[in-house]
Amino acid sequence: MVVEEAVSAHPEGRVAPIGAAPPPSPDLVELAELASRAALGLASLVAGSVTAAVAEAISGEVHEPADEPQPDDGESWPKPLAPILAGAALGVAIESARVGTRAASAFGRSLRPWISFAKSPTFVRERFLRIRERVSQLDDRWRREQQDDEQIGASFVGAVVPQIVDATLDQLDLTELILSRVDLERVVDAVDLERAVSRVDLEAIVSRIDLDAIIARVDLDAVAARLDVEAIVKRLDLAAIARYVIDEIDLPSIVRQSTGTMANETVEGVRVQSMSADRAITGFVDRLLGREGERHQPKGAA
Amino acid sequence: MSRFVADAIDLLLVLVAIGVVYLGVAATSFIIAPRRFTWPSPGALPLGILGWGLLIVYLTVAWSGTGRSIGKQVMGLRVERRDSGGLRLGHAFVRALLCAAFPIGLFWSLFSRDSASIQDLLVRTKVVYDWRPRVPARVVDGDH
Repeated sequence: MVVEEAVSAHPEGRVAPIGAAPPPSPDLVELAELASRAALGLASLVAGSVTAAVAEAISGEVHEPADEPQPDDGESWPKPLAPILAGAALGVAIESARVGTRAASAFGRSLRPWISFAKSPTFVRERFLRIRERVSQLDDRWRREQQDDEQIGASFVGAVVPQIVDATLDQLDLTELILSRVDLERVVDAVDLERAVSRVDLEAIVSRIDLDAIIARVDLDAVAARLDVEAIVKRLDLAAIARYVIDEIDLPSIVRQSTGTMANETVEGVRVQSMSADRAITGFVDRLLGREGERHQPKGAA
Repeated sequence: MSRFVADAIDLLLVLVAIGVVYLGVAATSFIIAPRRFTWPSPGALPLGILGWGLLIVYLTVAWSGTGRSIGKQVMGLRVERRDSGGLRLGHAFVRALLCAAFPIGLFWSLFSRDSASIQDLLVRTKVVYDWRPRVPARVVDGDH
């Protein structure tokens, strides 16, 4: 990205003279010295706190054997020595920082000609172009192989991730985790079961169930054998049921109706037979008398 | 044939009625004078007159009312005027009288082109089939 921005900023290939900045001024050296001293100050604060804590801990341990004879002045010797040592160490550090800063500024001054040479436009331009070309080659190569690499990466992830997840899940008892960590009561309270159930198409579910197959798998004989039929019969008021049934079906009416139906059918049969006989006799008589065709009788005449 | 069967049923009913009347008279006489009870022996003529009278009354009432006696009811027949109207009391009485007097006139219906008996010709009546075969579906519907 940095390279691309540099190229787009200077499309003609001219590179800005980066090394045109002035050499480090004496202020910079002082600034570095001040920064190092500030860091040391902060370090001294931290060291002071740590030293105090350590001294307190050590003095506590020393005081534990309370019955031991103590010196006459009643003070233990490590107590004043620790801050002195810490202060001495910080003083050495400050002196070292001053010396180091001066040495660094002297080293910087000695390097100044080399730096100005490195920043010269021609030298930088050649190397920059070389680097940019190399970077462009790498970029082209990446773009050529991007798809294949991404595929390889995806297949690698696809192959590895499930195994990792499986292995992780094997190590975890998710059920136990959920039972111990999740407040299931709250979860259930938060779910609007009415709404969820109303969205379920029970008709479709029932239509997909093969009830015949389910019933075929049930051993109905075994179920019936387990029924206490006598207990069921004892609980039934059979007399009341019988009275109710007789009242509902109106048995006398049925008897009357069936008797009437039988009588009607008998009468009907007799009527039909007699009509046939009428027709046969009149036909016979007509033939006997030599008449032709039907009788000129009124409609329905017997 | 239907008419003969119907008339035979009617005649049988009249005979039964005569028997009932006879038993009634006998029972009455038994109740009045049990000791002197003997089966009444009215003789043929009174019984014949009784039967004849019962027949005329019975047929007159039946024909002037519904147009059918019990015998004709069984056989699905009805007595009508020639113009298909019902018989009035006098009309029915005359026909009943003729039928009771000359029952043999019924046989003319065998030979009549209109299947009419002598009585039908004299009083201008006819006997028709008047019944409708029962449709099974109506039985199921409980047409009662």
